[in-house]
Amino acid sequence: MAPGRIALGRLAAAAACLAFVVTGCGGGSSSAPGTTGSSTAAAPASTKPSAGTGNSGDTAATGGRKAQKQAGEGQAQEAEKPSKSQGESGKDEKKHPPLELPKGPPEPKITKAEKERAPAAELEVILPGGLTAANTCEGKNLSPVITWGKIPSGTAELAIFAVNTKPVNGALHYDWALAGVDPSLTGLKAGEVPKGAVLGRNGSGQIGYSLCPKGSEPETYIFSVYAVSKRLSPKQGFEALAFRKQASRGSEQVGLAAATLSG
Amino acid sequence: MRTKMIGVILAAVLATLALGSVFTGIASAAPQWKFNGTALSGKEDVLGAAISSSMTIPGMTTTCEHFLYNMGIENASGTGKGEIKELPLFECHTSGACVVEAIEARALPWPTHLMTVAEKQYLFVEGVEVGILYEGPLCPIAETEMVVKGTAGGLISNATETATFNSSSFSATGAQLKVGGTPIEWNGVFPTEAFEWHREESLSVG
Repeated sequence: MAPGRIALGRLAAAAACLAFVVTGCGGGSSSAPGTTGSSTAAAPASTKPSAGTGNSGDTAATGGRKAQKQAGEGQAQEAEKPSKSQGESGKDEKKHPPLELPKGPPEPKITKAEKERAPAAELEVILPGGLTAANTCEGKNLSPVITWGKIPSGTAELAIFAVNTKPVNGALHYDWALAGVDPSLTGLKAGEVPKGAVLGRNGSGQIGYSLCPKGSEPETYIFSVYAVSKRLSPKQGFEALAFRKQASRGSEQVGLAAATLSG
Repeated sequence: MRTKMIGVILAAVLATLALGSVFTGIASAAPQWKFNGTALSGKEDVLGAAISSSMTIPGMTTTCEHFLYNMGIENASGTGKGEIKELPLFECHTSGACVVEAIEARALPWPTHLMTVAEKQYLFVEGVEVGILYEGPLCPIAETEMVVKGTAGGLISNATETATFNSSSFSATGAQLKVGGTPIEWNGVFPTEAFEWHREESLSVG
């Protein structure tokens, strides 16, 4: 068994242990060899809890990735509730909130192939003024002021996108797509299309920027700046979604900034 | 001219005193790890399972229903210190159209230390780095590796043997997590339990 799996087994055992904190962990004696023991020494023999939960982290279960229950929002407050046995007297009953244990294996790690395919969101992108009515079709419909941090050397061009986080008519809705931006720039003014840049077609079918929130609910938009390492040279009116995929695969780094417009 | 100079010096002295009091407030008496009320001598492994924990990343919230973690702790130079050595994440999902394809705590171990702010004890975690890959046909950040980096500060409750991470605890400790330049919020409650020599003993900080 790989060391990682052993460690995970120990963690799962600990989790099972924590689930029984009120009654005690593992049933075994806690008589330690001494308080000066080092963790590098042998652990107490019974590192597996005896509590027959049938619910340890090792239990095979599919445990899909989609939510199976709502997050317990009230738990943070619960942790702050005063306790009768509060203090450092030592023999207090454990007071952990009740725990539910993982029902499946841990989430997978990012593979090397995935890393190569996906640019890392490490660039600093800022919308200094956020989004206002002036940036929507109810105002002047100008793209917002946007700035970005140090672009990696070797970047041939920047590609900039704005997308609604909520799908529109069952599809991703791009409000802005701009390619061929000079990587030596550090940002754009409101409504600016820099020299040499090319505008794509937005989700409303127009070439250029257009942000038209629907309804009265707040809407969040993600602005992304891709540092593309080879010039992609799209033509004016390029299709935003397809080009974003192209830009993503041609970049090692991207920067993201989110802004919300209240309804 | 002389009066002006004295004014400048006085202002500088006052500013120094004010700054001094601020820093005293941030880092007063160093808290230690205690078992059954006695300061930990040597090292111990603290393991546990965190209750549902979430990160709000640009435009959406990512929740992991469970974290398991392994943290080595010790008191060194009169202060509680340690390191988070393992942190597998379970059952992660988002509030939006994105699916968590992969997620990992990386650059482990993450150094930790205890700190006192306004008479409350906090666990401060440095070098936090979490990579997340989202997928989904309607996911606006699909095929993008989100890299969450920074520091985290959690309020310790001796009553419940937990560290609670939220915007208040981050603000109190000056901790900050970011994706690129965008600050993100992390909420979570982390119960702690010794798993080596001090199993079943009451763990406190003070």
